[in-house]
Amino acid sequence: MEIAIETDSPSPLVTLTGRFDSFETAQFREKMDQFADQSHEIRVHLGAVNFIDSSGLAELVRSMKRSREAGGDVVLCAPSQTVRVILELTRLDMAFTIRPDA
Amino acid sequence: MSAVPSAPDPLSAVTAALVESNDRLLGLIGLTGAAFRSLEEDELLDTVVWPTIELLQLEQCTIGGAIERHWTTTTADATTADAHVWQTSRELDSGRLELLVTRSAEPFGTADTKILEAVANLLGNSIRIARMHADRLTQAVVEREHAQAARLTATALPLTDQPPEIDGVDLWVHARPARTTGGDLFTWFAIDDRIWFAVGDVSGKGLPAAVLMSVAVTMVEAAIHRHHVDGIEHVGDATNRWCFQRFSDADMFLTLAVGCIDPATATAQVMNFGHSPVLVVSPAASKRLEASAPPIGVLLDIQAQVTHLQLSEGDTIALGTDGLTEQFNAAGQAFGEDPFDTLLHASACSPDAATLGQTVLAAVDSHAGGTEQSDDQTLMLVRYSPAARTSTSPQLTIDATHLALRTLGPWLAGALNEFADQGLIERCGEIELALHEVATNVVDHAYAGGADGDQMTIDLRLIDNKLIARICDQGRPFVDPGTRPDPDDPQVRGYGLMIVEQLASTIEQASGSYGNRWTLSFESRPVALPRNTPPNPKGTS
Repeated sequence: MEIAIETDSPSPLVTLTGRFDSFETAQFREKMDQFADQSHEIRVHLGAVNFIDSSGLAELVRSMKRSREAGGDVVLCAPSQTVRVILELTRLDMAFTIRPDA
Repeated sequence: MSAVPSAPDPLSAVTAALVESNDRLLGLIGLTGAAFRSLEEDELLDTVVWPTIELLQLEQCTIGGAIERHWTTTTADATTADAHVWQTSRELDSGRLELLVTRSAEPFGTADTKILEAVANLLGNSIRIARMHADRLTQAVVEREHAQAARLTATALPLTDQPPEIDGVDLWVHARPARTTGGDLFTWFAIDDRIWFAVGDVSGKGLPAAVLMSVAVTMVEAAIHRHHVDGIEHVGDATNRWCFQRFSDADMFLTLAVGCIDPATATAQVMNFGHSPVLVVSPAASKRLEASAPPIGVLLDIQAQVTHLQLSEGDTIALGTDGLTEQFNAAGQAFGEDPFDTLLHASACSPDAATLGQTVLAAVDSHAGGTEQSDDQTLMLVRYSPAARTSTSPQLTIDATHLALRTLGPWLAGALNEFADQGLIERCGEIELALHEVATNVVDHAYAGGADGDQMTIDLRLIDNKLIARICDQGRPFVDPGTRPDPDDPQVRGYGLMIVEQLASTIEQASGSYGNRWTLSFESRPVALPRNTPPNPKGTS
């Protein structure tokens, strides 16, 4: 999975491309840690994620909870069909803030 | 020995008598001390007769009656008319024994006749011993031939290591004859995508039971081939009609359980003619299939009931013979029917029929503790196993690491494109996700993260357009804790099995010393996406 980060706006944009499975969780967590204590909104673009499993999902939940504790949020942007399905299966579509685009 | 010089004085006469008496005693000792070097009748008689002739200075000795033998020390016709004759007879099992002896030298005195009576007894006993020995030899030969013939009747049975191959049924049989054949039989066939099977036991033991066993198994097979289209009741009826006369004439009977499994409909039918033990073994609840008719050969007109069963994955029809339940231990206790049922039920989650069967045999052997098997032991297991792998079902073995799980998707897509319909191919991503989630659990829990050599195997089967996927490992048994995250309180764990539950139509898990086995099924059409009501957490989250 490739992780691209844009920080030129007040709300950082993290764009994920490829497969987000248990093998990728450490890399994702490390990248997200830099925004952990910011009270900003962090946008995670999921339009190019072609596979996500419960481990990937768990990392999104973890970063969202941490961000909210700091007064911020993790917003899921433009989730692909694959991602939408798993969010619905787990009812996490009710927990996340989801936007159709970035 | 008796040629003592004539002496007129009384002292010499007494001395002569003593010497003669001593000679006789020595001769008698020689006679009674003669070692029998053979158990052949002729040689035995020679061993007795020749010392007697020498002892009593006989010229002729003739045995007549049941056997005829003649001994002589003179040339033919030398017996003079004035020779002294003595005879006696004995009644033997094999007929009358006549003994006739002659000598010219002097008449037979009291001492001579006593010796001759003893010799007659000895001859009678020698003949008895020789005859008994000959009978024993004949009997041993006959027994060996019986045993060989009884063993040869087993060639009427199918080979135990070549079960018929059919999708969705896992077959295993074990047939262990006793030293004296007990008359157990079994057979099995795959006809029109169904499995037919039978286990029976002919009453009695030895060659008669073995011969009728080979007749019976032929009849059962003929009935199955001729009537499988008509239905199991016709198979049972034909077997009974064809076997009745033969068994009735022999005063014997046959206990028989015959059945068939149709994997396409997950149904089984069984008819039980007085046979036990017969069970359907299921992790949920096992039950005995009691006899619904008397044994075959007892009544010509019988109306046997057919037991109809609806099977679930892993259900096993177990057909044994009483050689298993009645196996004794050193204390004379039988294994017992109830412990047999309990054992099978406790082993219901075995990964396959062979494992289940070996468990049962090991328990019976352990009970016996070396006590000889007194009857044939036969155990057949017919397991409805839609996920049972055959050589044609796609199979993938991968290392138990998170990285290796990535090969799952491309392999699944290739396999589905090869053999599944469009409805399943369109669900490829969802199916991959479900298998991936189970496999992740295997890596994390069965193998605690995975080490070198840890592997898991995934195989696929199609049954009625349903995809049956099985994931097997040899790791630590683990159980689904059953807890699911509360949607109002997002968690960082526990979503995996929740996802699997949403995607698969059925999930079954079995664990044991062999590891873990997950069996998931997927419908061809897309399953409905989540209902508006979230699934209830099964435990605290």
